Amino acid sequence: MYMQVTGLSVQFGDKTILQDIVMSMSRGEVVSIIGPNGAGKTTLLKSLASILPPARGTVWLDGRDVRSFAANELAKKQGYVPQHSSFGFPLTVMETILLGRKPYIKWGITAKDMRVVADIMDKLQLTEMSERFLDELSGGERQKVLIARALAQEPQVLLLDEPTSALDIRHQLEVLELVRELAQQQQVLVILILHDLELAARYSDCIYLLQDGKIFASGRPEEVCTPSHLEQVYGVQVEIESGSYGLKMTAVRPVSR
Amino acid sequence: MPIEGKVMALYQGSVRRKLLLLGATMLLLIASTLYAISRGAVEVPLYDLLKILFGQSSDEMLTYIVYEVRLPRIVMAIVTGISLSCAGVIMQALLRNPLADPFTLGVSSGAAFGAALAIVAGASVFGINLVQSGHWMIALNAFVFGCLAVLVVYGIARLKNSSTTVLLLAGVAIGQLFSAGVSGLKYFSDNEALKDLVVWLMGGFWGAKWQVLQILIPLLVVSLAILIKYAWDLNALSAGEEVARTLGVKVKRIRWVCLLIVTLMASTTIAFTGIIGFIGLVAPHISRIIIGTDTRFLLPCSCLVGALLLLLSDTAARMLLSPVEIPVGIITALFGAPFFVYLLVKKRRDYWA
Amino acid sequence: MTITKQRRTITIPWLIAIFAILLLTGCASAPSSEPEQPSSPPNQASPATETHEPEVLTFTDTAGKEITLPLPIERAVVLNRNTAEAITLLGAKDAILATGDTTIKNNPYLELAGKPDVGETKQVNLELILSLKPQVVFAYTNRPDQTLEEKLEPAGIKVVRINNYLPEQMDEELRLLGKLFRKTDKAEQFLKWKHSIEQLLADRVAGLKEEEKKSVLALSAGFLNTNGGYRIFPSQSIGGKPGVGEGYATILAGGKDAADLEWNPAESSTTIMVDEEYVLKRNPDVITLHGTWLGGYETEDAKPFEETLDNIMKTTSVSRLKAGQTRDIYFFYTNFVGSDKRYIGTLQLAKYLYPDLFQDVDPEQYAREYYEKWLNVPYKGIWTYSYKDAK
Repeated sequence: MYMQVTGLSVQFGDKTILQDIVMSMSRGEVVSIIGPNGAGKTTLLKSLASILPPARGTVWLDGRDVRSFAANELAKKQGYVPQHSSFGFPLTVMETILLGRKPYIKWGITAKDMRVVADIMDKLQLTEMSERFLDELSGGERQKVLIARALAQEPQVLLLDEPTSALDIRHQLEVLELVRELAQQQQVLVILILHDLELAARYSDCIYLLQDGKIFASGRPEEVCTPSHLEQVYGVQVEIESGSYGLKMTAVRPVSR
Repeated sequence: MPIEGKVMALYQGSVRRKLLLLGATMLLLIASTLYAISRGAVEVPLYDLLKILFGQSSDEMLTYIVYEVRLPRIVMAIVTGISLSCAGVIMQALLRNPLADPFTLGVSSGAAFGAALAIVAGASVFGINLVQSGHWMIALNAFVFGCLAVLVVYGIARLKNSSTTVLLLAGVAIGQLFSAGVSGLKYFSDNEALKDLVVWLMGGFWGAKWQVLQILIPLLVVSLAILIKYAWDLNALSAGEEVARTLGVKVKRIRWVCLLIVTLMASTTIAFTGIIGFIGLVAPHISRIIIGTDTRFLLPCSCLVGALLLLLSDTAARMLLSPVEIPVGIITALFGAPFFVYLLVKKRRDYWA
Repeated sequence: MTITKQRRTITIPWLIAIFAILLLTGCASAPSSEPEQPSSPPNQASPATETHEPEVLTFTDTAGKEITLPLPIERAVVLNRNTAEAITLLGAKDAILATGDTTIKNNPYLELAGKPDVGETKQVNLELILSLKPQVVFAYTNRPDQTLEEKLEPAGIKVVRINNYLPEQMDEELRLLGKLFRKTDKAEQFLKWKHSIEQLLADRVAGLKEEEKKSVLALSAGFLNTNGGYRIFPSQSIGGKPGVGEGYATILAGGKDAADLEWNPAESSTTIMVDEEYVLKRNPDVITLHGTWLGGYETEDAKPFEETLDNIMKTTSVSRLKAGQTRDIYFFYTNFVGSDKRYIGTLQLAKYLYPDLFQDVDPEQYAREYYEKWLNVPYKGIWTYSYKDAK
């Protein structure tokens, strides 16, 4: 197991956001976190990225407590892309991706940095827009650039918070194909939050279903996405059938609880 | 590997272009400096000027004018321009807010209050005796209160999760508080002390001395060296605090260190020159438009632009109605404000959204 | 009688207004007795003026406004400290009801501190003035602003604007005060004495050739002392008229202005800030420094003068000038050379500039005479200071 979570709880003041989370994930996997609004998905992802400190429990990375890593060390292992990116003063595409090399850079850019960035830009077809500013891009292009920035960190773990939320269907597929490819070809552990249950089921090796800060169910998509689970967690009656690309889920009607 | 070569070429091209821009700004600053040296209430012909600069002149008074009056003043304008615009660019990067500058964080009003206190209390409590060391006293007080203002502002923001909005709002509030203090001191002080206060609040470079510059320049050099070292961290901060942390930036430490350094820079220069507005806000924005937001290039560019603007303003202040002097603050606001509005309207991208 | 009538017609709307306010605020009990009082004193005063067969004088004040007043004035609020001093030297001090901050602070020898203080000249306490019920308020021509007239005239209080310190105005203004307070003889005697001193100075410097005249730069001492730059008092205004008092003194004392600036009387500041280089270029023979924060009636110790001048020599480029090298630097308390006692201060300045011409003249003797004979108070204080003589 490359990444493990044991007994993790997170609190904001008196309020418990996450309670007793247990997870275990391997490299090369795509792991989705799903759940209704306010279930604690983003908090969980931020805890994994060690942005938020746990009240109890530990996040283990490669057998070590993540909090024992120096900031720079951890940055070489984990890349994180938040749901809402603010740009402050926008950088260019090239500058943004170069930022991913921050953990490796002393002050100057080395040939190695350049090579990594060039590879990623090529793979994500960003070379043409390298001089454009981030705020001039479309939502899909921007998402790719931000993922590229995280990839430039050469991480073993990639944490993505709703990477497809603002994208049209084509860009959604592009991003998720890319994610799967990374996991399969480079043995990256990709952990992402998804709203779209069908896409989550289709692209994930493993799904964690969250409800009220606790893990309600986890496992392979077809184990987690069952009509009874979804009805209990989302309060919606769902019809599920297998299709040629994963599961087809149709939300029928809200159920009264 | 053709693709790698292409990206490398793109990157190197952009770096070369930025270096070229920096070089051009530098040349412009040098040219302006030379122009400023050659002009003044006293005409110094070019030939004599060269003789003076190379220590060949026998005219003692002209030598004195150029070396002890004109040059320190010019250098002071440049140093102040660098300090204030550097403070502006760093504060804007730290807070990720285009409105941040030494004014909005309360440094200036804190420093003004400190100076006012020294001027008013110094004149009334110590009588004339204090005045001999008064100039240093004013500077020290300005510095202490400038730092105090930032500490208070930062303290308030920490109570509220260190959000940058709270930081700015606290800055505005504390600024108002200190301004009220200055107004109060102005109201209750006697006339002569008040005059000094008004002069100080207007700001300017008359009476600039090498003594003062000997303190300011090393401070400036060290501060800039530290700040430029943090360029990448500041760039990372533009992606947001959380992302910056996942990129290995020690956000809290960077904030404290940078804020402390720029407060030190801004309040020490303000202490000796009085309040000079606008440069700290405008220079970074102009620079962003010409060179982009990469702090590695933006910081030096802002410094050069700030120095250039302030030097030109001060030269105009000296020359427009020569020998009558116009306070430089009037010039910077008079030309700076419309120019800034023009940039706001014309600029290509919208940082404000 | 007419006056009383006028007042009554005004008190009625006044009372209505106050009554309305009281109704609105709903506090009827305690303050209600107070507003009734203002109406009674005019009634009491009117028989007194009637028995005197009031003589009325119509005149134009320095601000150019025509004013009619009954004579003599018995109740006056004086905002202008130079006017307060002029009234005192005419022997009519009893008519002064109240003065302001500057009079009490800067002219302590007038001994007016016991009377009410209506505050700073630019922000006088109008309520206090109204409650004192003066016939007239004396103010400067340029301060406070017209609000004074707007608030006081409806209450029947006249505002007379005179300065009592500007060279071309002060003689006429003193004569006017003589008439208003029925002290015309005293005014003429004083002017005769003053003119004799002015004549003495004019006669002695009349023979100076242009090349013998020393160049003098009149500077603000306060600014120079606190690194506020060189602020010059120009000797002439736009159009060749006399400039600011401190600078014009140079011309009266037979010197020539080292600067070539003209003052715009419309400006609120009496000094012009110049480039340091300009001062170095003009390189004056003599520097006069002016201020009111050094010296004055209560001052006994000359040490602060020396310390200030040492500081200026140390921290500014004055030491590079001819005046600095020969220590020809003289400090003047503003009123002595640039204001109402100009005739004494300029004589002193002339003696500093041309000691040989004035060997037999002692300017301080005139100052003593002014205080002891005309103001009837002991002569004290330090009014001028010579950096040259201090060495």
